[in-house]
Amino acid sequence: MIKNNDNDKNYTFDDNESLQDLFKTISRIERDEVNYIDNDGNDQDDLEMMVEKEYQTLKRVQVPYTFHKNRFIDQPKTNNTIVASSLQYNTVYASRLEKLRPILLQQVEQKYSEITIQKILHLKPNDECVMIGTLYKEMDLKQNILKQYAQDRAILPPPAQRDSFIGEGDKLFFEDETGRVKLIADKQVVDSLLTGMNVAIKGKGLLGAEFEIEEVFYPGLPPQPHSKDLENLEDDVYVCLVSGLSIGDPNNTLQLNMLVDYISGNLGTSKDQKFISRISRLIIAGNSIFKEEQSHQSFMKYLSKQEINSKKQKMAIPIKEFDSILSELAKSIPIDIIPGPNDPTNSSLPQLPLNYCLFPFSVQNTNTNPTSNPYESQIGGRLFLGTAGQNIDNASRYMIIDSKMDLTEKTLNWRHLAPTAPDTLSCSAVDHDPFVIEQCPHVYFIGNQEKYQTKMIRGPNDQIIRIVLLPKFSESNTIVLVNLKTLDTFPIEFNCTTFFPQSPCSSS
Amino acid sequence: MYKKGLQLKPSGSGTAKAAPTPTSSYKSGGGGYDDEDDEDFDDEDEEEDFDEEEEDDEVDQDEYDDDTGDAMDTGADDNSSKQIFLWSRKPVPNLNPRSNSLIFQQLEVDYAELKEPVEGMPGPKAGSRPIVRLFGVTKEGNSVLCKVHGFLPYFFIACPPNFDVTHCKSFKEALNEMMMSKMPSQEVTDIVVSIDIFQKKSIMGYNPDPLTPFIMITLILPKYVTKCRDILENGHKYFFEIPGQPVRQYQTYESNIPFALRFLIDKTITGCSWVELPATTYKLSTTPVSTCQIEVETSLDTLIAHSPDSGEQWSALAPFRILSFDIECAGRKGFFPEAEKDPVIQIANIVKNQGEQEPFIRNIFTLKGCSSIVGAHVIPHDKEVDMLKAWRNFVIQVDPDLIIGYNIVNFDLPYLIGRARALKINDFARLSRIKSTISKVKSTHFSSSNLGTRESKEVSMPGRTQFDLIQAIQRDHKLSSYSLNNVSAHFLKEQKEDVHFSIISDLQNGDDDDRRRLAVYCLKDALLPVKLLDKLMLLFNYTEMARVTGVPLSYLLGRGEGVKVLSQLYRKAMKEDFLIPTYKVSTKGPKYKGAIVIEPTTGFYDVPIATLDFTSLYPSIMMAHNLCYSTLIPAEEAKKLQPTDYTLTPSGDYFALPRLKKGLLPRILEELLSARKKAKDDLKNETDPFKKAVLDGRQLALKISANSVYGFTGARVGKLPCIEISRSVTSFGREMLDTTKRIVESNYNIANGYKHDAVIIYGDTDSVMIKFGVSTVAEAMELGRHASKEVTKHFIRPINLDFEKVYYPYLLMAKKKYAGLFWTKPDTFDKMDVKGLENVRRDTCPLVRNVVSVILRKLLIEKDIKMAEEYTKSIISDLLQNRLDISLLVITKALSKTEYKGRVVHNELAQKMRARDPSTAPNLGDRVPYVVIQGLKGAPIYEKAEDPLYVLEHNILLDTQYYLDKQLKAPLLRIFKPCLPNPEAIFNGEHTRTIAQATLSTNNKGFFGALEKKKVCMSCPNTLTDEESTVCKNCRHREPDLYQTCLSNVTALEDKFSQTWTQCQRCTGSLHQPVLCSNRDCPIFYMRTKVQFDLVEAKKTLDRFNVEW
Repeated sequence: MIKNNDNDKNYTFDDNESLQDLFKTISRIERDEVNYIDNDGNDQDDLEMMVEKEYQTLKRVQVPYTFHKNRFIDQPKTNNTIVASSLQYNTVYASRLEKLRPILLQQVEQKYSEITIQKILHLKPNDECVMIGTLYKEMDLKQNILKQYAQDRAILPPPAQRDSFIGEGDKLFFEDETGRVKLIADKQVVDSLLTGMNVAIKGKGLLGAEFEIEEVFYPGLPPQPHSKDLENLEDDVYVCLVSGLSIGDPNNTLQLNMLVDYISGNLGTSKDQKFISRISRLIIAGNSIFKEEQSHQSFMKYLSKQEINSKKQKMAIPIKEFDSILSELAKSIPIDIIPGPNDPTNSSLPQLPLNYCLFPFSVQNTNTNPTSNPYESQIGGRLFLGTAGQNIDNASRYMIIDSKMDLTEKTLNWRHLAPTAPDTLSCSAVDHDPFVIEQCPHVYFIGNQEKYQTKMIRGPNDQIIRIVLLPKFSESNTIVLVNLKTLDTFPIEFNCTTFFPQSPCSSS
Repeated sequence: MYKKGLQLKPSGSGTAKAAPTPTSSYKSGGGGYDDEDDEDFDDEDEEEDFDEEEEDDEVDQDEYDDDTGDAMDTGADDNSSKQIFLWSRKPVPNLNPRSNSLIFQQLEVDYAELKEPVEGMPGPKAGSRPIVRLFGVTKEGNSVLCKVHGFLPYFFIACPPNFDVTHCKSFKEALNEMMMSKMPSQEVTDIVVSIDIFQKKSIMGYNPDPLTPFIMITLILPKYVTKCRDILENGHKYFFEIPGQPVRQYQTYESNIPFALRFLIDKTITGCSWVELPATTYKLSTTPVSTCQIEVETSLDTLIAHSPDSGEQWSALAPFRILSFDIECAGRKGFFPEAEKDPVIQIANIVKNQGEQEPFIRNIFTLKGCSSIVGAHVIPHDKEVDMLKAWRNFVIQVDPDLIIGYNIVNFDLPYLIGRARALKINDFARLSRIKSTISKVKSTHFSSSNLGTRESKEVSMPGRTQFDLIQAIQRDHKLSSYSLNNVSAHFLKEQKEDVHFSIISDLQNGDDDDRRRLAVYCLKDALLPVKLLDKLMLLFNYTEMARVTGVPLSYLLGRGEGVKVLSQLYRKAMKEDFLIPTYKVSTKGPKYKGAIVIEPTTGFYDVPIATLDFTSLYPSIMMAHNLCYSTLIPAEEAKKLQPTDYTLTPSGDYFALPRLKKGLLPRILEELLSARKKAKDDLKNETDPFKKAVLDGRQLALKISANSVYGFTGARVGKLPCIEISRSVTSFGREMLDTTKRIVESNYNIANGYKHDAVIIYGDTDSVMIKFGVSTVAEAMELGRHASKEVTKHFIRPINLDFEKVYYPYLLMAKKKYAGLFWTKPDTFDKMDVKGLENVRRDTCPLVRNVVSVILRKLLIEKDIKMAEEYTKSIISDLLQNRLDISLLVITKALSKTEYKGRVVHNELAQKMRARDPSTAPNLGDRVPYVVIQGLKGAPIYEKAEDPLYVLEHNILLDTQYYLDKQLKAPLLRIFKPCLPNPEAIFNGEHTRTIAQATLSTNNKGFFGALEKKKVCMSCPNTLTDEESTVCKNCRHREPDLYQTCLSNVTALEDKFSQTWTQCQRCTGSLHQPVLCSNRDCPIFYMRTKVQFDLVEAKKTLDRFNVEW
């Protein structure tokens, strides 16, 4: 039941009422009381005057904001002279190791001041030493395009995605630019590590190019930047995080509209609205567009022109809807749109921002800000780092984890967003590795997870990190607010039956 | 004085296909041997080369000893003594000839000439004499050279009338005088040692008479045999006559068998068997001539041969040392490396003891420094000369029994020897176990239909058996390519990194790490043959084959099939006092009718089809009808006999019944088949994997041997062709097939109370396919079993018609072209069986094989004709729109000659490529991959063939119509014809209308490359203004659409890029090094190259949408 206490007028409707009724109701609300929240002074004056005459206008809070545009994607592209034939992945690993080696060296030296650091090449049997390099895990279950192309190059259907690729015979290898050794360790240790991680390993050389693990060193939490903006932050200011809108999914139109109305301030008491005006920014973390599960077929059926066209048209509908939702939202709040695996952009990380041409209406508002995935920005002095979830989802299939939260926390400790890229997670072949975490974020969020989870970590050098696993909105109807000042988080669930979103301020 | 003994024969791989299994190549009527193979048999019949240059043993020996010492010292670095200790064999346990017997497994047998007698050993008092050398290994792993004294070459002629013992002396003198005058020599006083008379019988023709006298002529040395035979065969040419006899030509017997094999036969020693020298019968050599740890002298008479059947210990394998090696050489740009000019830069070695899991030596000799490699010992050298010397010392030190590798016989070994000669390292070629023998390279040409013309080489290396994996695999397996890449991908499921030889020089000239990369690659090439040897159980299979057929291991790869049967025939004949005549080879012979085929009733059978097979058809016919040289009765002789004494074969030949005389061939076959049955039974009960491998190798060898007997009799240029036998065999086969058809169709019908009329829908050589009309597999099996028993009753044992399998469903397209699901038990099918279709042929592009196999799967397993049709249409549409992976369209042909008659596609292309970049162009013997590109209308195909890489790099459009019409259409029509009413429809229709058009790409530096490019609207031909980057203002509304299309292209490419390149990193085994591999046999090679280019292009297009606002 939705109550609007402000004017003592009750509009009620039941859950099973049709959508049209809801819209009618909402439009009635809109007609009856226009709560116009605006932080954009460019709107027509007459409207503002009219509003001012009758209603109190709430200004949305504004905080300093910088989007780190070039953090993940080089812009502008002047790179016309790419030598295609040199595109390979070795450069990614090389740059990763180059960045993290000095850090690992430090970590080792902190603990053992006198120990030999050895290049793999010079390793001899019975050497006790520390080596720094990249892990590689050989897994039989790992997808293998050669197997797919089989013996006689018969194209087999791609094997179904599995939840875990961990197998009995998994083997760990360790590599630097000079060579590779096989690592000998308990299965438990093998299962706790990932291909692509940079670590330092203390251990002993064995015969036959093997190395026995005694201790593994990780890079540890990176240093955290401090910004003056944070000191200027007086009141509680919030950033709203949401992921997995799945527009076009026939099941969740209602909640989506509630979300739009809530953020725009069209729902709730004046107290609620006051609270909502403290939300400075909305971040949409991937999978805004619904994508149908593709049926596994061994071949692409031949499609006629009409079939292709109708398919295209069908695909265009949710994007148009997203455009209209964005243009509605952008009227009142700045939005960062991070693309996810289902969204219409390239698929390998880093994903390019959603293209302007897809959003003819919303892009006209500067509040609409399509961003890369992964995403990094500074909001009110807080460093935000986040992804649409691919990195964690992929890594979780190749190691045994306690929880996704645990894994997410570990990535910070590894100083790497996506160790499994490029091995099992598709990424661009660039000459540097953008996924190394050189600055510790204040807020680290992962989109499109099964459930909402959060955790506050304090690092040894006074780092404070709020980790947020964002649930899919289409399944949980939940958004998450992060308090920039305290780094506290509040989930808000839009529940059709017992709605009303509980504003944190009214409850606390 | 030692001489090269056995000559390795070059015919090798050519005869691989000649292994006459009953299902192959009877059609030619040549008795299982195709005409092309005739040359091989020619080669085989070549006489041993007795005119080898002679070398002075004593002198060489001294030199050798000094050299070894020096070289060892110079090649030594700090830990070399330790290294050498590791390399060497275990020391010999105390061996006292008086009290210990010496037992070893012999691997290699040859002979040599010895100038002086050894005290206490039999043989002439003075002068040269032959000794047979057995090289082997003891159970403890010590190498042995056993020199057997007292065996002399001999042969027979029929005794002319009125010749008796009293004439022997004068005959001997006359013959000796003739021989001495023709081949004067200081080494020997008498060439003819003795003339004796024995009671024998010729194997040719049924002969009920008692044994008759034959003259045995014993000579002093094997090299005199040819001449002596010639004198007796052509007495008039030499004006030679046996005293008291008129001048005439004598038929010689057993005069063309290799001397060492003759020895094995006479002593009933089989290949790879164990030999025992009892205590006191042998003595240690006082002046060893070999590098073997144990070198002994023994007498012919006291040597004991243990048959592999006589106990478990005698069927075991000794711990042979196996050395696998691979070399890299730095060729000049544009040329294939030549030993005279281009240095050897690396030699990788893997040494393993037979029976052990892991190799115990992995090392690599490198020229110039090389970073170390974990798990392998890097031995760098500054000078090539030092490296080669060190490697030779390594070989001597390791003392391998078996040298394996990939293409070592034709490349690595000759190259090393040639290189050493160019560098004037005199002692390098002393690689054999005989200190004085310098390994020599001989070139031979051979042709075969299988492999084309090839220059083949052979390297003499007494005491060490060379086992080239490429030869073994070419013999035993039909593959689309025999490159090590392809072979290891096929058998080991390992793709291997392939460094093109044009990069090798660059890597060599780089730094230590670059050379290390090369070394890792080289080591892998040395390791793969070892893995292949294990995986394919080659050592087990080949030693068993040697034991079954009685020939030494080296004969198996070096010689044809014929010698194997011959060895068995001699062994059997000897026991019965039969003599085998030596025939002059003639390439002409009457053709005879091959096997029969019951015309197929084509169609798609959705009912179970029972298949009955004659087990071991040809061997069983020979046994049942007693077909043999010794039972053949000439027609006029037959008239004199009772009809109950002989069989008249359908081809009109007469053979005596076993009652009169049991043939040798049937008895050989019986023994082979019953031994096989025993091996198979033992195999079932055996649990130890090693013994299992031995038994399986054994039963396989027995089967192959049994089948090759028929081929032996039919080989027109073989050692002992007998057209009467081979044509009788095939005629019986034809008759039996007809009988079977008659019996089945007349018994299993409605008239006899069955529910349906049985129909034979197809029959070929040894199998018949019966449609009983029943609807379940179980019923068909029941009837099949019943019918096989019924029909078998009509034939003489051991002919046996066996029910083997049911095909259901069954797609019968034409003669020898069918496919079906294969059922041996009623509940599930075993596999899909496809015969004679494009997916097993190799001269089509992979697309055809692919499509055919997918369609068959859909038709037979899923039984969904509609789906198969849909799939075919989608593939055709993908093809026409150029959406298929180019590797699917690559056709490969081997460049087997330098000059072709007329213009041949792959030769033309090879020339084109040579003009472009000689360094990467294919060379003689390489396989040339090509694709067909669009060209002028009506242009011949050879103009339209292009290098796939070039096509990728230049974005050239393929002639998809060619692939559709010339590659896909025929096989697809053949499959769909029995299934669809109008199969042609698949090739017409909407899906064939969209066809890829040539587009200008930035990569295309052709004619248009010079023009300035203007930005054009992506949706219409309008030029764009400076502000517009994607579409013109009229097409604005289409922009999102175009963007989406462009995106889906990018994402698909990104996926592929990531999958292929990460896979390449995994194969290469390195994340930090760039992938260098250029393995064109890898299924993703072209794909990953293409995706590199395509992705950059696609991203550029995508970037046009990303405008800054």
